[in-house]
Amino acid sequence: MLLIESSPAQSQRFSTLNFPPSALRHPPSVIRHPSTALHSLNFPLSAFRFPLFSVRRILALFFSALLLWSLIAIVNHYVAPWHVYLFVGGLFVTCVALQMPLRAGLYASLLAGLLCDAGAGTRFGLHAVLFGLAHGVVFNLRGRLDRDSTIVQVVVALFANLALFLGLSLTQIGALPVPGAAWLRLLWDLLWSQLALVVIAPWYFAVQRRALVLADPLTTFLERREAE
Amino acid sequence: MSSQRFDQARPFVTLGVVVAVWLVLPTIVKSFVRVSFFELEAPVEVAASYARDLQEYWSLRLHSNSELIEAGRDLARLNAAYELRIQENAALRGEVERLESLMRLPTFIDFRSEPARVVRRDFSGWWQRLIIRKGRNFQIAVGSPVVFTGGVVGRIVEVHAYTSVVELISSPNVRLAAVIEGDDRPISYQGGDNRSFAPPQGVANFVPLEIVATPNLPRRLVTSGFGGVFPPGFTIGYLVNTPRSDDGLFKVGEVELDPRLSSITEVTVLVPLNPE
Repeated sequence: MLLIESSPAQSQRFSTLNFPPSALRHPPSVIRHPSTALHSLNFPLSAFRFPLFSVRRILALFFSALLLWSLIAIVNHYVAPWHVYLFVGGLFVTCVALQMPLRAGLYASLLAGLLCDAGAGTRFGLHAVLFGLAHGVVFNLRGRLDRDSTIVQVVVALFANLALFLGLSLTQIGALPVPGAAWLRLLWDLLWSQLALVVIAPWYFAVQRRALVLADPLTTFLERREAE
Repeated sequence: MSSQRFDQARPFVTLGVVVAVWLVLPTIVKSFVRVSFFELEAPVEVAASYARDLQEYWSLRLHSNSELIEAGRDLARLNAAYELRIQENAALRGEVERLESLMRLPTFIDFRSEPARVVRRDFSGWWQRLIIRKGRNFQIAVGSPVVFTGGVVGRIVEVHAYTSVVELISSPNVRLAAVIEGDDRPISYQGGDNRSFAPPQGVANFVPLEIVATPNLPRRLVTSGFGGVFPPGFTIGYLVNTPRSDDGLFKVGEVELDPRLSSITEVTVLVPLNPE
């Protein structure tokens, strides 16, 4: 249940939705969500510095990342006989970095990285660090982009995927017996990965948006109204 | 201006703090997190693997009875040949044990065969791994060799509750001690680059200068038994090219692996009966 407490001036402003954009990205204090209402029970939520609705959004993004990871793993299983490998790390990071607040989005990206790390043949935490770096770069650039446009999101995802693929290759290339001979295989993998990313990106962004609506409909609604 | 710079650095500062905390965390915590994430993914992979098996079963049900009878007849012939080989094998084992006891020689490690279905193939340009559908629930041990009908598949690198991870011999991270069939000089084998739309390959180092191999006259590369991981005599691949190495003291061999390695659906794990 949602309680809205405000002064007359504030409620008038709220009804016309003339809030500055930054206030809507971080819901105004006049809106008391059930989690913050727990303050009345003297529960030390502030110690965690994470409202419950933010945790729900992170979990929603995590499970959508798990879905994407599972589907890509199945596709990679079927294309393995041809020695083709799809890498779509950019998809895990893009929408989260463009839409979410910094901390929640970064944690979602790091969790997605740990998900990729668990089944990969790399040092545990490598994907997470790379995803975190990509998240930081995209987050810094998002002020200059039309981040609600699907085409812009797909283009950002392509560049993020390219950077992540190159980063991962640089860290792993030393283990190959003939590093210079691997470039052709990596090039093919990158090509197929980018093609696959262009095809599935709009679908995955829609899945993430739907997951966020299910996890926290109010914040998502406010963000959508502000974007309109 | 400084606040703008700090705003730009804020994501990286946050990331830096998280990475610093991660580095300081004890290894046991990181291992626990890794295992937790792996076991979170495992049910999805195993469910997909069961769905594939079910799909294969129903596709076989569509075959006509005469096709199934022919396939059964061919398999019966194969089974009969294998039965004879098993009987010869048992006789040879008895002979080996008798000779070992006579000459007081140490016995080779015995293995228990554990067949396992492949859950997922993970063949990137950086690693080549399989997930199989057996783990601690079948007493699979880390380091156990894995084989199939065409020879060596790889070795177990991780064991989880009901899945295990096999690193293939085509993976660049795998090195084996090998010998050319008919020659007992040790050679180092390492997985190589696996080009797209081409069979898997490996690299043989320290090949003696006298060894000559060509695509028309390949030489079979087998496990040497050194190191005690793989039993001797299992096929790794075929040496198809032997150019000289840079130092001129040895040759470097191009090893072609069994193309079926890329589409394996079932493997056998050799679990040591008396692990040291």
